Amino acid sequence: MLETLSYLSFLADPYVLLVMTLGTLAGIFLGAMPGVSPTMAVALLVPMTFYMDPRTGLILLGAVYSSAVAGGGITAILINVPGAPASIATLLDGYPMAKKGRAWEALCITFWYSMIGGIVGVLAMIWFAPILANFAMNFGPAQIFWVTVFGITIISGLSGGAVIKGLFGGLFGMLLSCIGFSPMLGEPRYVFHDSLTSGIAIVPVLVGMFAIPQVLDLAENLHNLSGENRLRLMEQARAGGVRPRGTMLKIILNIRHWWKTVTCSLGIGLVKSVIPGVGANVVGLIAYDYSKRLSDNPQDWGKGEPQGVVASETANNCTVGPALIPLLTLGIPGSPTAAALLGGLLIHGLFPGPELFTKHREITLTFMAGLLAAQVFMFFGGMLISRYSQHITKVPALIMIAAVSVCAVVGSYGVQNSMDDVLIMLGLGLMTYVLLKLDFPVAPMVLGVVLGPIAEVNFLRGKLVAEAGDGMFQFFFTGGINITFIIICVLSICWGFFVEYRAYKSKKAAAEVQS
Amino acid sequence: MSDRLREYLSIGVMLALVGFFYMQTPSEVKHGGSIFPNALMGALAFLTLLKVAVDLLFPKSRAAKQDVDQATKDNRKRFWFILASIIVYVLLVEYIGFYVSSFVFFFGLTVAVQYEPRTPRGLAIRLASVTGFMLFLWILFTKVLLAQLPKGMFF
Repeated sequence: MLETLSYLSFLADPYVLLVMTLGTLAGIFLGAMPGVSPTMAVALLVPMTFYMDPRTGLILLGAVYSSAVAGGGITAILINVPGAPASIATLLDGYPMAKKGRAWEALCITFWYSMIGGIVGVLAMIWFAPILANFAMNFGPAQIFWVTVFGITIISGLSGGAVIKGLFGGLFGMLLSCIGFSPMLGEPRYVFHDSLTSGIAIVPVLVGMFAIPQVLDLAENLHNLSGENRLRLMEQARAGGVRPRGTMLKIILNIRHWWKTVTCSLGIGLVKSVIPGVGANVVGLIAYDYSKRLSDNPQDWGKGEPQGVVASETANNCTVGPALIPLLTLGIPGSPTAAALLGGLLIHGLFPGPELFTKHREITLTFMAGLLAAQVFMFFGGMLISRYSQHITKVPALIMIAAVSVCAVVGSYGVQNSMDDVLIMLGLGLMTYVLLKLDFPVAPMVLGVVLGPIAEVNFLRGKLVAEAGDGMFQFFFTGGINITFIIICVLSICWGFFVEYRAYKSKKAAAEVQS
Repeated sequence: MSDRLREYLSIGVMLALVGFFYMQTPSEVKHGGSIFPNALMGALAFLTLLKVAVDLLFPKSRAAKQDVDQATKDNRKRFWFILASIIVYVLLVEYIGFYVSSFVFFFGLTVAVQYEPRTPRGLAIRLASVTGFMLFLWILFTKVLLAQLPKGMFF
């Protein structure tokens, strides 16, 4: 812990400070834009870090990630539209507060408790990640193979009501990662076109699968964010622009009344976010629900109760650090945004896993220290942007569509200076858009592309060792760690099927009642 | 689109994707390089069959989802225009250069598709904001990050 904190000195470099400040402000701005998720913000900025020193690049991505999660609260409060999925629970009480003329108070709560949640979450990551990485050092090819399968199954099982599609997406992503030359044997596979000879790079995948479908989604819902609707939203935002003095002090002192909500939300944020696939939006809603039950005045929740905003914002930003633990230690991104962040590691030649804490220890610990500092930057940046937050709603959705498209092109081209990457990005983006329309979740697919090479290399290594020893079954299906991972994989799939079946039954029952 | 149709289309897409990759499997790869992708294709084919079985056992509703309102339907022309613009823009970047094509795409798209009435003042503001954005990209990528972007025939 203390060693990690000593790396805070790296942030004294004016260039790093500038990058972090700009990253924070950009993250809050992008997070506050409806239709631009933190995942998309990180995915768009990953290529830019290619030109930076790995530590600075990762600090930029960390700052964007945490501030985009908090920034989503601005529009949730002002116009009842969550800027990011993580802010869904914020609008339940944030918007009613704004309607009562308490928008500034809600915004202060958002950034203060986001900072508290974020700091606790990052400290937990700093504490637990090296321990888990140490444990993961004992993993051989079989265990690493099962870890990758575990990553795909758990994110598919928990992606909500589409297990088969989630698994299909994950395995299809793995199949996409096989395009190009075999990583161990050098044989060409699925090279349909010359542009695919070197395989599919991670950046076009991230940008294509995360940014293009969101751009098209924005285009599809353009009428909701344009014309008269936009004017109405701007009016609402303007009404929330009053800033009474002493609000922040009042909020800081109120912690003595809100400690139960804060503690409950921190606990839920820490525990739930370590599970891959459980997003900040789910954590926020669970924390909101539990805190409401613990509250002395549950009847006021949903009508502008400040504790509702406290619960949601504390919990959703608390997920930022713990969601990165499985990524940094095992190579399994805990969320789509963590998958995008993984791209930032990979383009610098940093492979997640125990190696990050041995060979690249300095970079990893600097990143963790930077993420901790990013929480404080996010608070000050958030308070600054909140002063002008009503202007954010003036940015037309069309401008965002055009700007993101241009950034997607420059991002995919920039890493390898290849137009092929831009075409791959567009092709994958259009394919993902169609698959999303058919309810295929996107996160398992991206994860599949990322984890595919790791799974293949370790499967083939394991096969070679197994053939020289006791055979495949003995190597892959025995041993405590292997069996534990297999059981979790099976349970997560069964859980997914159970949730899907329950939803099917209730839908059918509702349809019968209607008819 | 009804839930049932969506699921049928999903099965069609799953079959098409697995079939496409199966057809592209190189016959000359005889060593270990094909083991993993073949195993994946087997798993994907199994999931497709499982999906067919699940949809037969638990058929989804035929009723169309009521989530598409009239305004969304009216917006479709704009959607297709935006999609076509993005595709044309990506295809032209290589030939007319990144900055020129991006400028034309950005300005053209935002003016052509905008909901608000076009006024000279509005156009001037849009032109200034697009120029500012392109200038920002030029400083960031060409001057600060020293990135090489497609030059094409102009700039």
